[in-house]
Amino acid sequence: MNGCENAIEIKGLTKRYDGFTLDKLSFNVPKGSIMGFIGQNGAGKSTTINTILNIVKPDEGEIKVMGLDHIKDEQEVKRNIAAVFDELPFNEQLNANDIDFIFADLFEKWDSKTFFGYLERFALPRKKKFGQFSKGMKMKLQIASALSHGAKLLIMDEATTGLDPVVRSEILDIFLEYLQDENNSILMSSHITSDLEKIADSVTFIDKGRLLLTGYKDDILDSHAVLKCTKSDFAEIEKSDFVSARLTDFGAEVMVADRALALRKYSGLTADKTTLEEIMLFYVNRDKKEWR
Amino acid sequence: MNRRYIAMLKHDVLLSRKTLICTAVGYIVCIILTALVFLSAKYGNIAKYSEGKADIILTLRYSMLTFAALCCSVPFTEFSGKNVISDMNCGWQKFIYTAPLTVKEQLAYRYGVNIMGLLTSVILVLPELTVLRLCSGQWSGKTELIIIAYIIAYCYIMTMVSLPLNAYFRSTDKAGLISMVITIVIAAPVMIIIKDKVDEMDNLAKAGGQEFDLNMLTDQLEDCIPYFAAAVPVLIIVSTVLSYHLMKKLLEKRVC
Repeated sequence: MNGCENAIEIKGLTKRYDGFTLDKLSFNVPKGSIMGFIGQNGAGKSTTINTILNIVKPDEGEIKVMGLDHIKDEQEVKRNIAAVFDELPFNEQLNANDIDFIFADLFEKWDSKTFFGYLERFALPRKKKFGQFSKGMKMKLQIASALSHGAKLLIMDEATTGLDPVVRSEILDIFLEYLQDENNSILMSSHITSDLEKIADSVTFIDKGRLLLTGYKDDILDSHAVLKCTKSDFAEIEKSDFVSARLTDFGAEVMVADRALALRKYSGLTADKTTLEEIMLFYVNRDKKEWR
Repeated sequence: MNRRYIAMLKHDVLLSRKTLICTAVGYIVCIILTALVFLSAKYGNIAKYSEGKADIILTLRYSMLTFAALCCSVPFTEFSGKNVISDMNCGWQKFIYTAPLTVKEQLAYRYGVNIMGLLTSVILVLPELTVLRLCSGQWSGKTELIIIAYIIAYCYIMTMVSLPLNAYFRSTDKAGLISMVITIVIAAPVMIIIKDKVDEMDNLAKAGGQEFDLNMLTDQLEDCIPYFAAAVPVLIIVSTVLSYHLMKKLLEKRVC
């Protein structure tokens, strides 16, 4: 993954707060792809995103966006990115026409035609005040404005959280269209792992401020597996060979990070395919090792 | 001109359109009322019923001028008050940090608009003074001009004091209270001096069996006027510089 040109490169990113530290985070978002950024609430996803956007100042580390330093070349970086937050950041008194009126001067590459095209596609009214919009409408509007000023990188912080499946699916389709241009990239934080499973090319998983996994989604899903075993089978598995194990009345479900090795070592066991949600769950409980 | 300044101005104007319309209507009504009242005071019913009661006319003059001066200052106070608070609370300020706008551009816009507001307020008071002159036949005296300058400067300084407080507290309750206290402390010496002089003149007038004439106040304040005249620009500059630096620190810290 490091061999190709990256939309975002993060090296040793550290941010210390009272009671929380984002600890030497390093990962890359390959250009032309969509990266899912997953983790529990409070894992440090928003801190990382806010640091990329230079809303939060890092204590240590280096961030490059489109090959440019995110602080030194802030203006150039911000000409080429669009951020989408979990809440609409526009005043509730405004309407879509007002946003077009303001953004025509705020962004050099603002395209009213594209913006109104998205509004039509999303069936969003032009004159209705945002205060009267539903959560889904607000999110669609935010995405419409983010995609209308020629941004090459879309950074989204929990943008699909709280939306119904129909709206989410509609939005995910738009993202896939956006990625048709191979110069465009998306970093999308979410804890709705099913969405990421559907569209992400790569995944970064953090927990308690630390990086747990980063890589291509298919590689991660292929290398991980859940071993279904009885109590006696489980007793034979070495603790260092698994991430964590969910104990059941009949035995245990064991998450392994190296499916091939596990199957070689414990040939009598069956390894089931896993999901990002399961991986997240088993990794979050890795300190307990065994849990119910 | 940087188009991003226009974008910020559009945003402020759209958020304050109701206030702008109301103050524009208030200002026009004030000018029309001034014309009607002072024509009546010269030729009509007010002249008939207020004969020998100069204080009524004087009170009307001061009221009209005060209202006109306030109308001119209110929109700019709102840009830096209600709009800044709502920008912080609705996430617009956070969004602005993701847009290609530097802190310097944000500050240049915010303070540029206020300085333009100060100048506009001064210019917009002139039609009111002209109407007063045309309808009453009398140019405004020093006292009236000082009162207008005092009101416009007071509004401007309060806006400067409250701007970083609004951004920091994100609420009018705390920010408004603190900025009002600070502005009152700044304005207190002038108010105390004026009140002493007014009391002194009132006592003298009563002792002599005469009516108290507020226009005489300027003569009484003759010694203080150069100090007032010097203090107003100094306070305007000091409050602007301090406010600018505090706001710069807040924006650099990415308060949102």
